Amino acid sequence: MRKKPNKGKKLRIGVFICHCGVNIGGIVDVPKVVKYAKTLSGVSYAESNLYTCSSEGTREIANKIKEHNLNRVVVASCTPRTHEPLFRETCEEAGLNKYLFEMANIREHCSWVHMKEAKKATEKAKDIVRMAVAKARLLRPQEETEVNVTPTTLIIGAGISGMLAALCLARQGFEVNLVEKEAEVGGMLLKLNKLYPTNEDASQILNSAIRAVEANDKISLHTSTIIQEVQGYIGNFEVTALKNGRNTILFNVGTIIVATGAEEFKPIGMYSYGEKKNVVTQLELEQLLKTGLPENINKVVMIQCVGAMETPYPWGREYCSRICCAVALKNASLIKESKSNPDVYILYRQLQAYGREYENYYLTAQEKNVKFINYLPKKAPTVKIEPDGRLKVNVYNALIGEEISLDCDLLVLSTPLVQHEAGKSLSPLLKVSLGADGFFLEAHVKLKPVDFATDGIYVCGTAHSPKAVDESIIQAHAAASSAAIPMAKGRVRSEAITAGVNEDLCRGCGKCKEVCEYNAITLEKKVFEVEPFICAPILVANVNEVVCKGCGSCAVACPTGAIAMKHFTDKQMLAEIEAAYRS
Amino acid sequence: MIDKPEILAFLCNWCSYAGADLAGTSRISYPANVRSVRVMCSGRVEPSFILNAFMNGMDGVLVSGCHPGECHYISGNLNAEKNVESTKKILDLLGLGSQRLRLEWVSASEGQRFANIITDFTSILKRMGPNPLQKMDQLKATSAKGDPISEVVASSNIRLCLECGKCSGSCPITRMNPDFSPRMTVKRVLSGAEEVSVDDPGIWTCLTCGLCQERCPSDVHYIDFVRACREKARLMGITETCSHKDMLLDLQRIMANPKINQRRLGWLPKKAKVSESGDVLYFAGCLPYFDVLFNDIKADSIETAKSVVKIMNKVGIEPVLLRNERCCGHDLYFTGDMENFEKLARMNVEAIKQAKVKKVVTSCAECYRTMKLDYPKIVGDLNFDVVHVSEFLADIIEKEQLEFTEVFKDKKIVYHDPCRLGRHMNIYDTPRSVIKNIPETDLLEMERNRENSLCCGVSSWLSCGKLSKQIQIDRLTEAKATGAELLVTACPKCQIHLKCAMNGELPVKRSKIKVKVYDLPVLVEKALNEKTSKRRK
Repeated sequence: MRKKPNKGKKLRIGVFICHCGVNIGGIVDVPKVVKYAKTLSGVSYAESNLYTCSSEGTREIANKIKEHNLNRVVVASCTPRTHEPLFRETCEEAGLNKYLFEMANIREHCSWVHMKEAKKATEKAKDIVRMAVAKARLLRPQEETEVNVTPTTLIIGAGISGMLAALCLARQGFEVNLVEKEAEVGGMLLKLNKLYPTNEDASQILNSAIRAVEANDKISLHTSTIIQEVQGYIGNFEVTALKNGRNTILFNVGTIIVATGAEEFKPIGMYSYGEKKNVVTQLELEQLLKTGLPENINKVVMIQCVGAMETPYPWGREYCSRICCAVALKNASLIKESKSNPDVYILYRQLQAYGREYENYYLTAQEKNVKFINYLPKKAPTVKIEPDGRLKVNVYNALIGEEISLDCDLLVLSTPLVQHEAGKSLSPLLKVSLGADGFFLEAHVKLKPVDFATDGIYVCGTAHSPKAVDESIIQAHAAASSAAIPMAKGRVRSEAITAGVNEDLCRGCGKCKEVCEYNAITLEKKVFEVEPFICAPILVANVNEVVCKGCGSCAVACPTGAIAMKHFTDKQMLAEIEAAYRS
Repeated sequence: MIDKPEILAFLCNWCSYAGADLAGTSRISYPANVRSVRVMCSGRVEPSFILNAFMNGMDGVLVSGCHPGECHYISGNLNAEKNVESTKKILDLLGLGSQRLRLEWVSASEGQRFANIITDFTSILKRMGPNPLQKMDQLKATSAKGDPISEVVASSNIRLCLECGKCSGSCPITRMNPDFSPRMTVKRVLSGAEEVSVDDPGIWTCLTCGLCQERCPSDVHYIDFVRACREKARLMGITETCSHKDMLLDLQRIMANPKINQRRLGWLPKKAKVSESGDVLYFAGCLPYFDVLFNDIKADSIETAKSVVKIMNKVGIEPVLLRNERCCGHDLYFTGDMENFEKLARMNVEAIKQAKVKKVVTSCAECYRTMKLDYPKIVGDLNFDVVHVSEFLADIIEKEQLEFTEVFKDKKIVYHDPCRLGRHMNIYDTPRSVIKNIPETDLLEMERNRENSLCCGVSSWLSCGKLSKQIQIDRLTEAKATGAELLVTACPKCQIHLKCAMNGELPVKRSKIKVKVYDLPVLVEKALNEKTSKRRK
């Protein structure tokens, strides 16, 4: 960054200082600040207003911009967090690029916090104005670029979440490509018996969804199809997929929804699972219940939290899988309803039956005489195989403080949902993160619950975290709604405050890329031909301005100063810092 | 009316700035000595911003962002945390005290917390007393002293230029950027277009490696010439920001402040023996600072200093180390900041004189050149010897004071000549002889060696970028092509630059350039026999 004495276009800065009624004017000596502002280099107009944000105040700014041919505007009033958009708009209407505007916060950061120190507040207001003017001198016009959004979406995974997200978008008129890696659509629901909280048949819900998907001509379904490569950014993704292991399909889409689901953890080696046929998981029990429980079963024991909430574990499974308690309650009740009415025991650590419906399930199960035994993780149940081949479960009942022995005909293990290999391999392709427990991680748990940090990609269903069918469906609709926003608008406006690269200073080391959470930076190989030599190829960082959010971490990571943050350049920041000190 | 202590607060737009706003809307009062700078994310706060705030006289700096997990940009606040941590280490080294810098998480709902932090920080800073740095004087547009260019024209033989173009033909920069030509800058000045030369961005990309000067048939001193152009440019208000956002040069300017009282000897191992006075002084240079700043590329800069002290102790020398040693000022000298260079030169020479030593050993080729060649221009004759560590090592090896093991048996080693040691000071054989004296090593030569050696790609932290990376890859490829397993250099900066080039993503296969890099003292220390030692006779 070369610094030269400014001989360019003459600065004409206008400073408008707000009384804000008595909010500022009652404490800060505004006329004094106005007088001071006039002494600052580059300031050609300074005045106070009673309320700068009133229509009269903004009209005044617009008039003065024209009258004095102002090329920078500083408003000293309240916080930019609330009023910057208004004043920027005023500048724009008066023909001044809105990024040539700077705000000095002399209310929230000054008059309101130094109400008993009027003199000090006035001095500080002068400092704040001086800092804003120092930055304003170096401001440059910026443009917000717009890109078109292809009104087509790609949904990865045709389980219940993927199909309902597809229907939601297709019914709004968007083209949907629904991709499923298996030969058959339906996902986890294909394996389920009845769904809580209504005890409907899973097939009933699933079949109606499949019929609707097949009947909708906006949805093109691709089974046995696997994603190979993802290029591009919001509005313009290019996705390559492979169908049946041989045919390549190319999708040009504006948005992508990840609905890849999850799989059940197979507790191989735990509680004789894999060894004895009558040790099954809850999912395998669902299959048994579909066809009807064998008649010779008189006692069923269920163990909760098998392979879940374990610490420490290298990859995931420290979490509560959220659905297993309700699944156990539901299946325990269904077993009790069968003709043989077997004894059912649920060995649990913490029984999670949240909300009214699940609480009712719990009460119903108790009414049906399902027995609940609380165990401690430290004294987990053990399984013994008797000489006659029967199973014996020993458990220390933590509530009564005694060891209990249970003979059982069927042992059901409640295991957590886990991320599957296909999901893990999809994460680097989409350049979206997985959380600590292996599931896809949303950008913000409250503010952006179905969005990824990468714009234009959304998540729903159990790909995101273990959840029940009803919750998955709600999330599918949420993801579809989020994806519909840019597609309905047809274009997205990108930040003007983005990073830019000075290629001469770029060493191609990739430190910027390392800290970028949005995958906005790529390193591109370039060959510079300098007659008569051909230089060796080098790497140069490239910022995708549509994807960049303007946080500035890359600029700090860059060792050479090759990355400049627009509107927050090193020069501008240093000028502001230097002006902070009272000389 | 200045309300002390003064605090500058960098607040992220989404959480902390909003938190400070809330303190306002809730009318929670706090001391009026704080000024805020809004950034979109705390991750945007450069260590150089913090350093600049202190250079501008601020007594304390607050960096505040969203709580972990709540960052609007996912993890920018965690980047801020790392940047603040390393800056704190720098502040401790400078003796300013890391407590002057504070990192706090303040959410948009924590107005009271923001006010409490300011109140608390104010009382801490009051206890600490004022920042010893005063607001630095602005760059003067005119110089009271003579014109650097007319001086250099008189002394550097540039009138003898034959316009043969050998300089441009030799220049590693011109090779990739034909817009820069040493001959043209000389020509412009000679034909009266001095202003054009001074304004030429090329004068800042020159590596001052001296290859042109080496080959010039007329003995034009181009190094002095280009340095003078930079000094002149600076006087005209034209400056160039160096890499690392000027951090390293700013550190030198801070060290030029007499009030600075550094704490820079924390790296000394407990076993090391040093003394307050004696014959030999070890001038470690900026290694403690490099150790913090280049930790990310594992530069291991401080190993050089540790090795030198260990070797000295082994031969019975307990070197003097200056508690408040200041940068030699090489980079300020070569970027034309004569005012601060002079301050550094005078303070260092004064401190060395007070220690009453006979010999100063430097492990940095730049410190060596600067003290030996440039200090006398400022302070006159030095009443002590300046030797480079390679000379010191060669001397003790010759006296058979060191006993080596065969850890480097059959190791193929290649030596990279630092420009400052080689072409600037004519030391080529000494470091080579040190390597050869380590038993059973196989010393190889790169295609371009000794007088023809290729620069490490950066000097004075200037001009780092596309071209320097290419030069470095070129140099490492050349080293690798000899079959060497180890590249030894005799300058910590060459070491940093070459290691940096191997770090991160690469346009070529890593195996084509990856080679182990050692500074000469580190190599010697590793080869020492731990058990035996020969005292000085």
